[in-house]
Amino acid sequence: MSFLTGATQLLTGVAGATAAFGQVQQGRQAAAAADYNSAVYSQQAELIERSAALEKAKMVKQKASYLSSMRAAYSFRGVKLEGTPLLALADSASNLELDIQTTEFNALLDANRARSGAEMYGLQARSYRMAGYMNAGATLINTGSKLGEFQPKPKKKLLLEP
Amino acid sequence: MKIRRYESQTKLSSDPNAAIADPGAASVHGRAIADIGGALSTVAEGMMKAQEFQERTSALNKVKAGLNDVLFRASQDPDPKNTKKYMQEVMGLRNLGTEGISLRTARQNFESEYQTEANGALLKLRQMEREKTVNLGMGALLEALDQDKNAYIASGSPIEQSQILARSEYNIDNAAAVGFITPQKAFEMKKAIKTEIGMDKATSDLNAARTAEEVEAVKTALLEGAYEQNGVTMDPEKKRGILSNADSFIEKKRREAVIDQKVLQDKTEAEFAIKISNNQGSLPELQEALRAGRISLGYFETAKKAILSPEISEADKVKEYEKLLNEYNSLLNDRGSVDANFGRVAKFRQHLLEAQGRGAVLPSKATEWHKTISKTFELGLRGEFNKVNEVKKAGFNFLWMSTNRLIKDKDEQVEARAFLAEELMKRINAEEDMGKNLSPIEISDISRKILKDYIRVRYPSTLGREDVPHAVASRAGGVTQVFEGDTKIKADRSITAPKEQKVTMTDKTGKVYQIPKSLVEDAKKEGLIPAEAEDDGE
Repeated sequence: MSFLTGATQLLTGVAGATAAFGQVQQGRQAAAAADYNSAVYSQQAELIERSAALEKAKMVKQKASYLSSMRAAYSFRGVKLEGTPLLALADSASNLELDIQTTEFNALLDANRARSGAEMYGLQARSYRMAGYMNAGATLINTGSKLGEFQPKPKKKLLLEP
Repeated sequence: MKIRRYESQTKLSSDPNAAIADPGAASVHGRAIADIGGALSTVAEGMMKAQEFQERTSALNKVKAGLNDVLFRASQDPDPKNTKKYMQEVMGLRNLGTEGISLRTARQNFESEYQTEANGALLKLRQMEREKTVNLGMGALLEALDQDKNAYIASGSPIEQSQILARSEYNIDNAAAVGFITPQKAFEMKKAIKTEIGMDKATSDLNAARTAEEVEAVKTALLEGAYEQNGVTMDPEKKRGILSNADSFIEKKRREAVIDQKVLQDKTEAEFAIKISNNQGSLPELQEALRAGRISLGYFETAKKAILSPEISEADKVKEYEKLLNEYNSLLNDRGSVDANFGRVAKFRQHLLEAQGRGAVLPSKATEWHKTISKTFELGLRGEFNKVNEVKKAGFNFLWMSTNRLIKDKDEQVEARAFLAEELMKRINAEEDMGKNLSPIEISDISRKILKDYIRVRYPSTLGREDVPHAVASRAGGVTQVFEGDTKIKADRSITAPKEQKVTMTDKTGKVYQIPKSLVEDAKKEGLIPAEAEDDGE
């Protein structure tokens, strides 16, 4: 084996290994960033849910307070809870409940959006990691192929027949 | 009346007020680490790409070099059967390439490119195999055709020639059938054979003819169309050329016959002279040779005298020997024109014979001279001396000029020239016998060395001197130049042989001669005169 052959083989191997290592690292680092983003979104979803629960409790309390105030006002003015006043009270109660439900629903949507973001980043992290390994694998295969160019002496055989 | 009552006034809050985290911002640290890994990964990818390029390129270079090597070796290998071996080598190169690759991508890319390269190489190998097969086939065909051609030329039978032609055509058709040549080429080859083979046979027959009569026979056969049977044709223009050549051949053969006769006669006379020198010649034998026309009447008479004549006095022997030596040297010097001086050769031989009879020449020396003159005469007569020996002549001329310059005494000059010429001839012949053709420069060097050795031995005062002149011989003018330069040739010209002592000798008639002492010593050494012979004083 000549010096040039040895040097070329060594350099090819080192280049392949370096590139593969870099690609693995690149995948890992990108995956870490995606994992981090996923965790942020997960946390956001949790916060949305917790916030929605608090908001709901607050609105339930406001509803009870508002209806109590209406009944007190009717009683004070001697309005019987029948007919139109009753309908108004019932409508208010219904609207209050609708707001509670709407707020809860919106919170659910927000939480879902955050959770899906977390999942998306989780998927990205796995993709980055996988891509890093796959690129490294491809590089190593390519390097092996190049190193395969260097062959031992061929067996003597006649290419042509007279 | 209204009763007042306190109602709760506060509102609850569900917001936790916690900050939302940004996962994107939270994972910045990890993303930064991953980004660092990504950056390192980018660097590693860059390194891998660089490594992939380096490994692939290196492997491909190795493979390409290997492919080039295999293709080169395959191109040098003429045997098409080895193609499979080279193909396997090409395929084996894949493993050679992948040995150094460690990245799968690099290997895959390399194998793709290797495949392309290997396919190209395999295709080339296939093409080479085809070409080699065709070349082999063509080679075999041409060889068979050449053998057929030789067989046709050697054959004298028209039937056999017809069979040979049919066989050649069959071979050509076969080659065309298997695709070595195209049908067009086959047609052209068959046509070429029929138009050329007659010419080839006629030319071959002409060259093989040994006598003028045999050449005449070939010419007649040509005119009668004997070389144009079985569909074989001859180009009229070329046929006229062959006929013209035949006429030249006839003339040449006749001339050669005359020369052969002269040479034979000269050789016979030389043989007899040698026999007589050794006391082996007899008159009946001479008479037989004369009757057979192998020797001339003049020679017969001289030989007869040589056999029968008595010995002469010692002084006369020395005088005779000196005279013969001069004639011998003169003939050697004029060897280039010996053809015109045939009479001179015969005269010298008869003179030599007479001298032999009178005991003036030792048998060994006479034999040597006879042989040398005989060989020189034959060379001159056949015109070979003038053609071949221009360069050698230049060497002789160099020696001539040098001896003239270096040696003042005329007798010494003659003697030196004879000795040096003979020595040069010996050296040249020895080299030529070993199959080496000497260049003018080499002959010049040999001449110079011979002269130097001669001067050193003969004139000890010059011992160790390196200033012997040298020359460049050329065919055109013999010696073209004698370089003087720093060789002190002017000083050399002053070299004079030590004044030779002269010996006074008296012949039978009482005539007194002054003969160089060295000559007398030589004559004594060679046994021409007794060792104890006394001179008459200086």
